[in-house]
Amino acid sequence: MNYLAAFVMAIISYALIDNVVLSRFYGICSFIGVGNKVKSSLCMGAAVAFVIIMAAAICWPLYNFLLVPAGVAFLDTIAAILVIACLVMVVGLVMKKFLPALYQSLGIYLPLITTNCAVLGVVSENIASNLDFGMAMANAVGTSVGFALVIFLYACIRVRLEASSTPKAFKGIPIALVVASLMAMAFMGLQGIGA
Amino acid sequence: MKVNMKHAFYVGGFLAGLCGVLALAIAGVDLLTKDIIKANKLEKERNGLKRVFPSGEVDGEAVEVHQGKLEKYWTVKESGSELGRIYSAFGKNSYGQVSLLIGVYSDFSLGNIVVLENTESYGQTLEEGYLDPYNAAEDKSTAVLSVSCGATYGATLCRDMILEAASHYQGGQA
Amino acid sequence: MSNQERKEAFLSPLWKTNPLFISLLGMCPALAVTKTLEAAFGMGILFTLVLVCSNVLISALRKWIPEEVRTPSYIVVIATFVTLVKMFAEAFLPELYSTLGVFVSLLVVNCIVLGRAEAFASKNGVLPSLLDGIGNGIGYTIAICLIAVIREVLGSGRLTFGATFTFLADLNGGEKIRVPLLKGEGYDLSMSFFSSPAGGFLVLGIVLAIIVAVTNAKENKKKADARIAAKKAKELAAANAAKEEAK
Repeated sequence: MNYLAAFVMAIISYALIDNVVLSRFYGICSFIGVGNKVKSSLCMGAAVAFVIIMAAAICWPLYNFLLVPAGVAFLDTIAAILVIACLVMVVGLVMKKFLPALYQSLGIYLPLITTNCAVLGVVSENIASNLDFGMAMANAVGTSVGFALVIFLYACIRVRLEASSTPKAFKGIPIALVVASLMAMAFMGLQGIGA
Repeated sequence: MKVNMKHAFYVGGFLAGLCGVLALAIAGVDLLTKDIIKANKLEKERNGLKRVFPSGEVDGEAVEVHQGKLEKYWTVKESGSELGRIYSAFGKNSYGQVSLLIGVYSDFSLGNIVVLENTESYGQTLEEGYLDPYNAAEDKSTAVLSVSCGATYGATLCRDMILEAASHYQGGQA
Repeated sequence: MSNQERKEAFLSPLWKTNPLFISLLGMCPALAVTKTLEAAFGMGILFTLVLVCSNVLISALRKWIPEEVRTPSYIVVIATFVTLVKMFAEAFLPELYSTLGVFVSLLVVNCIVLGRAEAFASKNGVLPSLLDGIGNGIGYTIAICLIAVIREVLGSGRLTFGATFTFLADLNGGEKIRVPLLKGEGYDLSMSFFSSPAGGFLVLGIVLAIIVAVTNAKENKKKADARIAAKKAKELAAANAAKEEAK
């Protein structure tokens, strides 16, 4: 029961308090790149969530039951990136086959999930912080939820942003970063929950 | 589509060769740096012991405790009499783990604290934001209790470790 | 490749095609490690090392890397160098290593490293790739150090040296060197907001906007100059024509 409470608390804190984009700075490229259509942002969130959770679930046993006993714990980064690259390929193939329309609309962003730091970030963090399997999965789930939430919110703001007149110098990425700053400030209000 | 066997073998062979060579390079560098990393950790512990009680001198070997978050302690002496103990503590939460060296004076008041390891990757403020004000505070027992202001999980974990160290010292003497 | 092009490969990423400010790549570390100048500088060094090594090896292997597995090969090469750099950092700069945390591992997925491999090293020889790597590395280091200086001065009120590069503190007799700017005896104008993630986003956004504004202003000035020159030439021609006629 105690562990379950800690698990739920960890998910909440990874999703909201230490949000993946707004306070851990992972996945900013895709956050800014994909975030102009509400629907594709949701799909992107789902795809990234799938890759993060699968990668965390595969890499944890791979690291703790294979690399560490074999004495090659230093291969962690390479092993993780290979697992992630394979997963992204699988997601791409499955989507192409069953959801071709979606595959079209996500376009070039799909292969870029491999280089989305959120995925490798979660896996490296799980290894570096020596988390147990439950907490590692809490990190993965919380991070995915946080990522999907933030890119969805950002896409909603962006729709309004494009209709409004921003100063010329701020058009595009600079205003996106200012918006991210304001969102981060809002999320800062959640600090201290459950501590 | 006709698969060109020769080419497929070339691709496979190339990848295998590349991975093999690179893995060898990594293993070589690992052999080279492993001992240095280990020595660094020991050095850090030694330096940490000095920083906890700058005026005292560590007397003898560490005593193993392995109780709760505490691992072992060193007795520190100053000009022959016991100045206090330095506890080595290790704690874990959902963000990672923290190793501390905690100084406790022989009258059970709290001394300085040094962070040995902190794997809470975005808890980088642990030392600057929380422990620096603590180490600078005159009255450490109130400083440790006031962490609820702006508390992070890391700070709470540290507080638990500090209080545990103090009560262990007190319990052993009484 | 001519000398001129080689020079260009090295010099242009320093400012003209700066990977962070102009190409807008590698934003994650630019926000995550720019709380202090020392951390940003250390990250810049490690980044440059990884970029130079991977650029050189990839350009040396470019004739043998099969087209189908190009990207995976690049990623494996980059991941290897990141691991090597990580090990050296842990052994020789342990403080820096623990400050940067997982962001050293995340160099593997840094868009700049992969981007230079795809765009430059796979098409050019070893020497130009080396220069390109050094140029981009220094350019990126300059960029993140600029962000870090702004954030550290505004956020903590002073610049601190010796916390990450401990040998600086050793040179100073074991004490960290603190340069008071906004915070000193009796006054404190620092705003810890700028050390927080939200402050990082804001600083980067405003710096980018300033750079866009300056570039735009320069271009506008160039255009205006050209217009004025054209107008003057026209007037001169008209005056000359008038003179001719008067004759």
